[in-house]
Amino acid sequence: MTKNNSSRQAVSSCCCPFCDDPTCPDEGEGKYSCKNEEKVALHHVDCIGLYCPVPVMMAREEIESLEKGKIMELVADDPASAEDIPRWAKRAGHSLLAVKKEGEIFRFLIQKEKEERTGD
Amino acid sequence: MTERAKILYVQTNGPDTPERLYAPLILAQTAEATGLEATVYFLGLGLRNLVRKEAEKIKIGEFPTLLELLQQMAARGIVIMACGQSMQLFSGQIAAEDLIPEAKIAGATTLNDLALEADAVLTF
Repeated sequence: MTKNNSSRQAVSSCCCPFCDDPTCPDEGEGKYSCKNEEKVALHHVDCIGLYCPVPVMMAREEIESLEKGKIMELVADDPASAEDIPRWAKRAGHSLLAVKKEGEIFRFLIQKEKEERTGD
Repeated sequence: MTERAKILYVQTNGPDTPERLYAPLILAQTAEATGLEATVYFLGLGLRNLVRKEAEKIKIGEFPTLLELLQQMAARGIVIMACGQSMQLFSGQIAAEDLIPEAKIAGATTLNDLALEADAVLTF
């Protein structure tokens, strides 16, 4: 999802960097002014400085602690994560809602869809 | 539209054995020419094939240089992937910036996934 230039009315909805609200004051660097942050319920997982395969292993462990439907935000600076995390999410049966690159850092939003540990 | 069959080549040989480097690249080009979706994944010592300064020096017989071959492959849509973690094997001698820009850096999850997705996997 990206911000667009639609003429939508200003709303006080999600202001996370991934929303499509053109009025969203994106503060970047993981700082949100979102008034609905609880609704978004981001579960933050910091994988900065960690390299393959640790981000994927952490993603799997952390998403297990969430209820179905909740959203995990994972940040990583391992360039391999750009390929690995989306593939893990797909195979594990979760939804990759957004990917954003901020300099060397990748920010992934993943919604938990399944309770099972494996992707089969 | 019918999905193309997928073939994955894994290259683990490095520039110390140049006679082992060409086969997956020639095969991948042939695969692409015959309608297959080809990916070449460079792992371990094979990562050094993607270091631009090394690839441009490697040439055997009448074949183009390794660099020219890699660039031809990328231009034809063959996916070139580099194991990011393999850079650790070379004690900081290889950085992402040293690799050819056509290479996509990936990790263990991607290699496993590619292997599961592929209709055939050939390892060199």
